[in-house]
Amino acid sequence: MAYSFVVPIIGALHPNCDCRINVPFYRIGELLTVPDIALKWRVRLFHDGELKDLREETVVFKNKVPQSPPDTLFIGASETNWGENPGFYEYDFSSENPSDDSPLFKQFLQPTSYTICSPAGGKNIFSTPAFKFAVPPVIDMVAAYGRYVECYPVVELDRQKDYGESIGMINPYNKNVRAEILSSTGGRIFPIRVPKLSARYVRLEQLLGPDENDWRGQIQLTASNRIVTLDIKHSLVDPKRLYNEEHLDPFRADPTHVPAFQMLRRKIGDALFKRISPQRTSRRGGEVISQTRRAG
Amino acid sequence: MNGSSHPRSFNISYPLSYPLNNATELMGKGETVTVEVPAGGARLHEIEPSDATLRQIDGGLLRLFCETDDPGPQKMFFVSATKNLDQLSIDHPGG
Repeated sequence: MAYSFVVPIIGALHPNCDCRINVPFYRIGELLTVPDIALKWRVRLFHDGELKDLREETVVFKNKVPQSPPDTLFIGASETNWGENPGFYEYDFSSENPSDDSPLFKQFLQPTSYTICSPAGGKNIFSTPAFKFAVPPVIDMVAAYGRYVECYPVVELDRQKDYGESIGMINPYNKNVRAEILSSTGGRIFPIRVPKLSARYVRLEQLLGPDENDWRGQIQLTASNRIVTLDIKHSLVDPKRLYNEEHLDPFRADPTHVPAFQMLRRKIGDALFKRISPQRTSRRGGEVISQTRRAG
Repeated sequence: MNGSSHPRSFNISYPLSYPLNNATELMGKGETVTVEVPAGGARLHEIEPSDATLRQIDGGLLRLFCETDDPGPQKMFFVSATKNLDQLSIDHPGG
């Protein structure tokens, strides 16, 4: 099976943060069905319903190896100084010829890597990009529950310790999304509206009562349509001071127990997939992508 | 983190060259640092690239490879922090 497209990648653009997007071009080359081709790499930046920037570059592959691949994509804080709401980026690859629908890719989910956000005066934040569509657990979830449902298990708010937390919501689709957040202790943030092609922060301190100093618990987010979500830990006093970003997890509808013979079939399928997949893994160690800053 | 009953070495190498599926291949004259971790112990090692490495990556991303050839229980984490550790977060390397 081969595909004429790869699913676009989505990620947040936080205000006041430099953003470095590391695109694994060499691993894109491993997905190709043809050795020599020129692909169009398209990056779009959105904010509050508007396409703010479009960058296109041709990446030439010879024998599936990119020739002089572009550098890490740098989007400076000054380029995304659009206001209080975050923006988002979206990138994909396609044939240079728009009418070419030949099967170029061995799989439609392209390899991703962390995006690194660098807030002024703070530490770096690793951000996990998301696929725009075609994620099997999300498809199963919406089929089973009729809504988009995600959870985050470790929310901690504390006025005294200055622990704040927000849910970042990116709506990369052409339809507004309505959402709701429920807490494990009965708190509710509703209604939440994220306009099309926009991103929003939902401040979780709304779950704190006026006399409450702190709250720890779990949250569940439901939405009328799929949406890309992030949990962001930050200063409660100054929410622009970001400390960490994580992804929420889908409330999965796939069965946790399956018949033994079906499990065996899956294991055989996984083993066969690993033999042919370009994304083989090592059991010995791991790779980290970091960004260092020069002292001073 | 070394969960085994004997000391072990972890090697951290950088900067990596592409392609990453040959991840132990260093870019030019790369650096490898060995961190010894006692049995049942843990160590925090600060990545301090040399000036030559910093010039090589030219303000871009530094790709690291961490490995141990010794089988047995172990775990590696990546701590992203300010220099004075007043802000930090923990993440995992990719396999």
